[in-house]
Amino acid sequence: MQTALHTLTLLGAIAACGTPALAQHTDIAVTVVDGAIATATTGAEAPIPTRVFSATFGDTGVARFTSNPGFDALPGTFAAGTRTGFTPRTGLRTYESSALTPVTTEELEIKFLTLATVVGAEPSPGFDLAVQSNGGWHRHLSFTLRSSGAKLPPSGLYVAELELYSTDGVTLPSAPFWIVFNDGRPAADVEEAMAWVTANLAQGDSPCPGDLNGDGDVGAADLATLLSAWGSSGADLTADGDTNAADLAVLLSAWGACR
Amino acid sequence: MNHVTFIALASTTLALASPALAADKEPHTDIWVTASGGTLVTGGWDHLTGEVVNPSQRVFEAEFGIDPAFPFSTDEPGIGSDLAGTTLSMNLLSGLARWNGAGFDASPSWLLASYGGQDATTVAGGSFSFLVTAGLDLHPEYTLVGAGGADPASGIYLASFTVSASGLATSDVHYAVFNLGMAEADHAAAAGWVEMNLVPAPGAVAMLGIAGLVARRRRR
Repeated sequence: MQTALHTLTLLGAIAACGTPALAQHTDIAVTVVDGAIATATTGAEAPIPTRVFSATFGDTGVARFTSNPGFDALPGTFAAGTRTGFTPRTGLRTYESSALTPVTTEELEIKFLTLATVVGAEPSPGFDLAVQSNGGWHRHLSFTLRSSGAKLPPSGLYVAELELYSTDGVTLPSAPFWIVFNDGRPAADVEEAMAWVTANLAQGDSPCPGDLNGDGDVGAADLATLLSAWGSSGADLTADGDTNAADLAVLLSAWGACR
Repeated sequence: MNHVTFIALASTTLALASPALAADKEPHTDIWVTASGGTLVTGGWDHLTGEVVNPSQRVFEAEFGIDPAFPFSTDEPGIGSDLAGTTLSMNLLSGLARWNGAGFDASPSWLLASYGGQDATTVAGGSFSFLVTAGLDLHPEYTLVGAGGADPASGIYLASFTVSASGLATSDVHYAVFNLGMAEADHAAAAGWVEMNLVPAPGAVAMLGIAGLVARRRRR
């Protein structure tokens, strides 16, 4: 299976080679499943459980800045009057050649109005925001890549590991999830990083990322679903807005009964 | 029924249905920006459904203080657009007004609108720009500041904006009606007043067009 994964990852990289950096984004769908917060992709007809997302610095024309991905919980997800927030679980890391490396001087500022936290090599406390009166929680945080040193941060892929929590005293925090922030790298590099994070970090205690039909098994039916959604967002396991070779790689790497 | 009667009736109905609850603040529509005939236009966009619910909407409502952590700030109304690849400038016009129950007066408070480190105020005007990407859902930050930096007074505040872009004619003015601590019925009444008094009705626009044609014919 590892060979198949590598082959398909390579195919995905080849297929994506030469395409411009990702511009389209999908928000992070926030749901509550079995009493715990869960993350999923938006855009498809039904949310697909996902824990790896992408964002592009400069996507709206402001260098080293993005307000994507947003967080999108439908009305009724949380109790009005409570708050939902995030916690950085690790420091900021860069992805290069199938490895994550702690940053040196680079920092990720995460801000919403007057609240802010800065994630450098070490994690930092997060913050929470009020749930809307209808129980929804739609928020776009501001993410800014900066440096504590004299030089601007180099272009690269920066990976933040976060979890979500609720202050309602009942709902359990989410499993960890990851956002791959792209600053100036081609789309193929982003796909590779997302596939690597999915395969190496997100599958440890994952509810089964390739189980598209939720039957507890990744099999032919899931493969058929993925192939029928090829080119759309219908079976987007890597949250890049498209069903492509990277998603196929994730599915095949999880083939069999969910762990 | 004239406009004043309609507004008064609508306000009364709203007040009865929703008795002055500061917490009764439902999400409002975001600003949809598109182009029609080479001119930028705004509409009302429901982010939840992704639908443009009112293609000619020019009055938008928002609430300060929904989150107690930010009593004088909000990130609504958000902005969506189908003009992928276009850089839009959201231009905040100078002058902030406050609802007096029957109209708007100039306010000593002022509004700061920010996005990505770009600031505009109702003191000096200004703009912030952004590139439209597929699936754009942008939420600028709006902060109300009292005179001399003090906390602003509760009230309903009116700010005016246009949208501009290279190669397209600038939009008509659109309005954001912000509520700070007042009843939703008052908020709705203030927004209704703006709709009736500052936004020409389609019929009025048609009349202006006819008047223009008549004037041109007379000049001939």
